[in-house]
Amino acid sequence: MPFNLPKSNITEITLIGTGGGYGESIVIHLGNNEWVIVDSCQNPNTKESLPLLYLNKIGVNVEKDVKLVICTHWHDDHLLGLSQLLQVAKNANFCFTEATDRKKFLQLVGLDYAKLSREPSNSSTTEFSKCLEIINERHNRIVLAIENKTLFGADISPNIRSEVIALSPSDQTILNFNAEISSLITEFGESRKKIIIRTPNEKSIAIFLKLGVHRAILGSDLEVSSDPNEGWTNVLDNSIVIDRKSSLFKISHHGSENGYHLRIWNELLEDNPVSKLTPWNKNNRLPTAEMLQLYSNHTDKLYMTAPIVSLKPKKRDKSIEKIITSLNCKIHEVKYAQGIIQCRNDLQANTEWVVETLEGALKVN
Amino acid sequence: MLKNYLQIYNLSIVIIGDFNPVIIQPFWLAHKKLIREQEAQTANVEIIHQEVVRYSLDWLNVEITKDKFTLSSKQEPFFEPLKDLVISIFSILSETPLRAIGLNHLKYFSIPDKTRHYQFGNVLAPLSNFKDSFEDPRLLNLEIIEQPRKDIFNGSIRTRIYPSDLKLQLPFGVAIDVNDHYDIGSEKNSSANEMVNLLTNQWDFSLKKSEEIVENIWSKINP
Amino acid sequence: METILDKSWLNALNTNGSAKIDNDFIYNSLQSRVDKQKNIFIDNSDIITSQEFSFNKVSEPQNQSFFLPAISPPYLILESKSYFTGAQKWIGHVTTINEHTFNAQLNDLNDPTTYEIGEFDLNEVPPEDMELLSVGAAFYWSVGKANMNGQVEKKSLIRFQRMKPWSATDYDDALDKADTLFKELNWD
Repeated sequence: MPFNLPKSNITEITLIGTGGGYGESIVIHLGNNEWVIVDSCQNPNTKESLPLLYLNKIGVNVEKDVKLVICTHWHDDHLLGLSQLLQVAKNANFCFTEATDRKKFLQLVGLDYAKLSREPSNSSTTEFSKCLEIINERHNRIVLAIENKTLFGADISPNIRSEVIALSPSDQTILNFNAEISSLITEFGESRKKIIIRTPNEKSIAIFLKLGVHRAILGSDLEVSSDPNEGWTNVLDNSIVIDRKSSLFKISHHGSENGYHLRIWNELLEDNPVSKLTPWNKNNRLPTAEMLQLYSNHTDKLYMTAPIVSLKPKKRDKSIEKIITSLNCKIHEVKYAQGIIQCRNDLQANTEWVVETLEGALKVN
Repeated sequence: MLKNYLQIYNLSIVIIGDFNPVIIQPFWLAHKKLIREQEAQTANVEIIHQEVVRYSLDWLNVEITKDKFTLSSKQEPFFEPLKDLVISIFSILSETPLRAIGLNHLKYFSIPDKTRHYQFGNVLAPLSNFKDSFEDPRLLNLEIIEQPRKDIFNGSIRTRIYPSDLKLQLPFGVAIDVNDHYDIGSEKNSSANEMVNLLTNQWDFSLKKSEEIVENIWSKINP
Repeated sequence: METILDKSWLNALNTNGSAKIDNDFIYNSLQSRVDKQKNIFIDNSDIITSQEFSFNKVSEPQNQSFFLPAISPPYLILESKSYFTGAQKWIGHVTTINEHTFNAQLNDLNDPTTYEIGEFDLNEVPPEDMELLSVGAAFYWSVGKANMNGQVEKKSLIRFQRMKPWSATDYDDALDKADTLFKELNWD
């Protein structure tokens, strides 16, 4: 019975993902009804926050038991529905990437929000700004993520401790981000468009989980950078928090080549780890068949939240479809499909993860 | 659904306040880059007078008097640009005292047959009630209002139904006019900022509400 | 001078069609109409121009006076100029600009659920909108059949969003709000 509340000694890492570019979210049970949520995604048809829906379904007291909501980076597909979730999670603090000049960062967010506020927008800025407003009203804490920092810890029992630790962004990335914020503010001209953060993936928060005796890595959208002081190379060379190999891995950046590094599999992960990913199905499709094969060589426990769907036009009234065709308009729909990969384990026992694939999720190999 | 018979949809945004009509001329709009230069150059100007300004672009009709500002369009692709234009004008003229705003959704439907056309009158205001005094009574005009509104705003929602006064594709035409009215400010005039926020936030609601009203009426006529 | 005709006045025309009008009448009619608008309901304007409508008499009015209310039958046959109904509409945000094309994420305004990706030729952008084309820019795209002066035409319209230019005051307001938020937030 997967849609039930895990017991207090059972840890859970559940990936909720969507087939298109509708995002992903991870809900983590640290034990003892302490929950942490990483990112959010939304059903485009109902506009419901999918992690919130899942938590309600399994019977979590979201208001009381969600202790931290993490926004790993500033990308639409990781933020949609986050404010809806935070609205309910009254006890939760809010975590996002550190910025050296916090005031300047808020100015950038504020400028972008002011520009966009005159148009209906689902953009990441609007969502992020709403989250800040909610946290401010409640005087809950802002937790800023930087490499090697513990974002949240809980003593589940005298012998068991669970922790959520940031592996990124690195100091270098944050310094670079500071310069970028300055230039984005000065470039703020008259044009009526969203601010585009350059390379948001480099700023994303990859997470190392210590859950009793188990270890897991959540790769977010972190990529391998050409700069060894950023991205995965920095984690591999400089991280001081990884005390042993992980048995579960949320594959980074939708299984792309940019998110892959052989050293991750050799140095950070156990043999045959439970590995899961959310595909990306917008203008390009991830993971590619080659990458899927590569991951299958590393583990026979590879899971995907939803199948990669083909790109076709949206179904419409016949007369409109005819006009679109006759005018030679090239459009395709980014279809929505949802899947849940639920992984549970005993905090104290060195046992295998119990994996359930729910809704559209599938085991790849 | 009745929207399958929709032939003409005239959307107008009407604002009550204190205006100086001569400011909002086509070239002023073009100068502020709110419309294209060419649109200003080819505008059909009917009158520019300190009491009233009236002109039209290909897609827009503008009429402004000292206390009433009206922008309207019968071209659905330009409804959002129309809204943007109103928002932009009053973001620039942010000190304009405004008292109320109405979004008017005037829709003309070509009803496919005489029977259902007759039913508009007969179902909404049973004509049998009048048969004691009239041999062949017909409904000429029906108006329903909800005031005060049931949401957080002051104002009303009004619906008027009448036989079409425009020649449509089929001979049995019906007009349904939904007026979504908001009073803004209190006794004193409010700044334009309140109106701009209201229009931004209520735009989707207003469009959907007019659709909902139309379909609810049709569900009674054509169950 | 362009004639401004009142709808109710139109209804009372005699069988021969046009009636004499003079400037005083127009001005007084205008003034009284302006006064009448000060009511609690905001209604569509009753003012129409002679250019927009052509009219045919439908029946003999019972009374020849211009100043009585309408005595017309239920249908006053008028024709409306161009209209465009039933369009499929999107709001797009430009994602990439190529040599001859640009790509955009399209949000369906008729059915705001799943989004779409579109590719457009640069020559589909109206010349005066080209200066607005940039990554992140918003535009409206509509497809459908329009009735333009009686002629039904298939149309695909792109119009880039035009809003009030960003001003120094807007900039300062946003920065002030951010500064206040910075002081109020409960930082780690």
